[in-house]
Amino acid sequence: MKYMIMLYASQADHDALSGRPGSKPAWSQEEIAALHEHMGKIHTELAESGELVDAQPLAQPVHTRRLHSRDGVPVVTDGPYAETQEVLAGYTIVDCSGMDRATEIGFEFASAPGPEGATDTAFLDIRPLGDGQAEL
Amino acid sequence: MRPDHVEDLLRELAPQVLGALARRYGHFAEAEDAVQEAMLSACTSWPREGLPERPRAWLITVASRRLTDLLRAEEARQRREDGAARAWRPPAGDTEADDTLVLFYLCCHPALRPADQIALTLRSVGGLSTAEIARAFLVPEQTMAQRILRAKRRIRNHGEPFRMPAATERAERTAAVLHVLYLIFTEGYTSTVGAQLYRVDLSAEAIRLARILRLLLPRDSEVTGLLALMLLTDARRPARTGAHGELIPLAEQDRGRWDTAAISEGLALITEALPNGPAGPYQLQAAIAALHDEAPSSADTDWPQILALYEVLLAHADNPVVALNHAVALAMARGPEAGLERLARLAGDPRIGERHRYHAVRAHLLELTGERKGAAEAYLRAARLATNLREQQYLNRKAAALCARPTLTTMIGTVDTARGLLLGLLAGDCFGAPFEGGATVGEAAVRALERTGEPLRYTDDTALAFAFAAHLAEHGEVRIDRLAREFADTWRAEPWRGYGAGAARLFARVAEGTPWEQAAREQFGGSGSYGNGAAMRVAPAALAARDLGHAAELARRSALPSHAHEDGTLGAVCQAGAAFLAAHQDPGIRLDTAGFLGALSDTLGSARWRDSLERAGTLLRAGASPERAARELGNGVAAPESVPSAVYAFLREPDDLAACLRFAVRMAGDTDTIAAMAGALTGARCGPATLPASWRARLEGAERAVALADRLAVTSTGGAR
Repeated sequence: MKYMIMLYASQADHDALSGRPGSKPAWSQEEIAALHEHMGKIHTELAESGELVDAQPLAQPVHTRRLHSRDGVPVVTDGPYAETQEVLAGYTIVDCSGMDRATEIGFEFASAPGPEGATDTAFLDIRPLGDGQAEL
Repeated sequence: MRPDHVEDLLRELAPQVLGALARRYGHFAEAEDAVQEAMLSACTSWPREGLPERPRAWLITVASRRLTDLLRAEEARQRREDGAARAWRPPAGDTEADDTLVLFYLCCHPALRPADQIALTLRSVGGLSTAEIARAFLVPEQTMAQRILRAKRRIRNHGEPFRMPAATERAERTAAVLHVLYLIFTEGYTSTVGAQLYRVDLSAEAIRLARILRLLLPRDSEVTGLLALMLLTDARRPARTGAHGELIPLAEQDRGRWDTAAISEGLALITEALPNGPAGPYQLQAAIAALHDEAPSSADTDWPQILALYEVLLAHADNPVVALNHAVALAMARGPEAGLERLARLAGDPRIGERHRYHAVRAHLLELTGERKGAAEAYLRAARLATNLREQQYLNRKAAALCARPTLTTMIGTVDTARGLLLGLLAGDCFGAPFEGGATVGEAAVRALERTGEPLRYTDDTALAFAFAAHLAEHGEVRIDRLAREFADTWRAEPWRGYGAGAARLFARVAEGTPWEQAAREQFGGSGSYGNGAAMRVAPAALAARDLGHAAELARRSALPSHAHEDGTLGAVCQAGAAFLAAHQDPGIRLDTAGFLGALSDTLGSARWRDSLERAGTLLRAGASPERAARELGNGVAAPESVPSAVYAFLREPDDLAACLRFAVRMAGDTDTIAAMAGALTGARCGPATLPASWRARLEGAERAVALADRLAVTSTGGAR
């Protein structure tokens, strides 16, 4: 069964991670390195156990472009999110034995190191991928 | 034979075998599949059964057999479909050595998209597996397999025979191959994503392929130029990132870490290539890289020569990235204004005007002209436009470093700074005094004191700081004789304020008429005091100082009447410097703690104090508790055991006076002085607003602090100098 583990964070969280002045307390180089190491380790393990399908980080939310339609006319909005709104920041798709295992993997993500309080508003969702076969 | 040796050998032979097959039979797409299968079978059988006598011939035989099978199946299908037998192409008749070259041309066929050219080249010439290429480009294997399949199908549909392109096309086709190799190299060089272990090193692969190409086209100067460019660029890789993966720009790299072997090889190649007629773009870029690599430092770089080379390069092609680099060279050779002028002409170019690189260059040049505000804004803009987190971090760091205010500009800012400093000092002294001398101070005890609501008395720290503030407000500078007498008078007026025995003795002697020089020198058996007395009262110096150096000078002079020992003086310099830095940074911008500690260390110029501040930085990154920080930095009455601790408490809580004081008090020991010093720093940064009104109401001397602050604020804006 495949699951998508979706990590959520806001532009403000991203700003703190990238050390933007005036944002929440910034991460130090060591803290960033520790985070990368933690994430790298999880993904290497997932690749080795054969559970990794795909994983990608997303660029900062301000780069978002939203398309919708108003009165039948397509409308484009740039960077539609509020500073503190949590949006998808990255995802990992795993192919594993079940929701419990996917949750276990999720816990490893959630135990990522970082400065105190930096990830207080961040969270992650785990959702099974829609099973195309069963729906037919 | 070890498996990795087999793999190296196979990758070397792969293009030769594929070339031989494709030349002999045509049918590039099927031949490619057949070679992959032959290599797979070699991979499993060679390490087990040993290397065949003629590995290349073995591979060609196995691959030919497999190709025949594939073609037969294909032929049968064709026959079923249209009944027409397809004739095999005759061998092209070129020499075998050229097979690999033809393969290069075919893989970089102009009918293919660049992504497909890259994939096909890495697989057919580079001998990498589809899975390896997929991982290198961070795409699913299936996607990469599809890319390769599509590329092969396009070549087949195009009816391209497996032979050398006509002489008239040769230059253009070679340029396409060079471009593909260049793209592979830059993908490897700039990528910072993914664990390196797990990915093929694309830069190294591009260099390997360029070496092969050079063997095939030894007289083509652009091929030599590209190889030189790759080597000269790759040589800097070890210095390009810091210990934690952060990017380090060329100007700041540790040139000792550059790969000298790669540099010498690159230099030799470009020296060989350049005299062969007009230089193409790769040779020009290699020549520029060579000038950088040869320079002992950024300042000692031959910028006029680099500028000249960029001008030739620009004549070759209208490339906005080259134009951007040209602007940098112009700035370095003729001054930042010339560079900015050049940049202004690029602003409207849609290919570059809204790219982060444009704004990063602009920020850098503005910084060079001293336009700090504009530079900071441009760095922030660049960081917003960047998608790579490492680059964002670098750009944001640059912006943060520029956000420090060089001068106090507004009256309101000055008054707030002065009031915050003195009220913070007073509050720290008052709240710290009841805990003085304790081995530990629990959180509960601090809360209990906050709840009682009783008035709090200040001690010698505040008394002397007030005296010093009044002195500065009066004179705008330190008049030592007078200051010594004023300190002594302050003691004599209220000797019960908790003065140490040594200080009381000293002030008593000065009050009796002993010259301060003599009295101070004779303290502590002639060694002079290294206590924190000079530091605890010195913070108002920050409000009268013109710059950091002036703050340090005022601190030194103010320490003289009582602290003859170097550490006593350095304690005062450290606290005054910290207060100056705290007062002159925009509180709306997050404090750059590393930059703060660095600037403070530079002011002190003492190895021991620098170590101490470095330890504070380490503790800060670890988020150390007040107890641990006190254990490692100290909480005693000696200056080296208390001033760094106060700086630490400030850096932990630079934006909240109440939080800072709670933290400082919990460091225990000489609580009133440590909290007074920390409070002065946080107060100087964030003003009095974060001091709770209920606390302020309990402070003895709050009104005096405000009155003195307002007098000093006028002094510091030049009103009463």
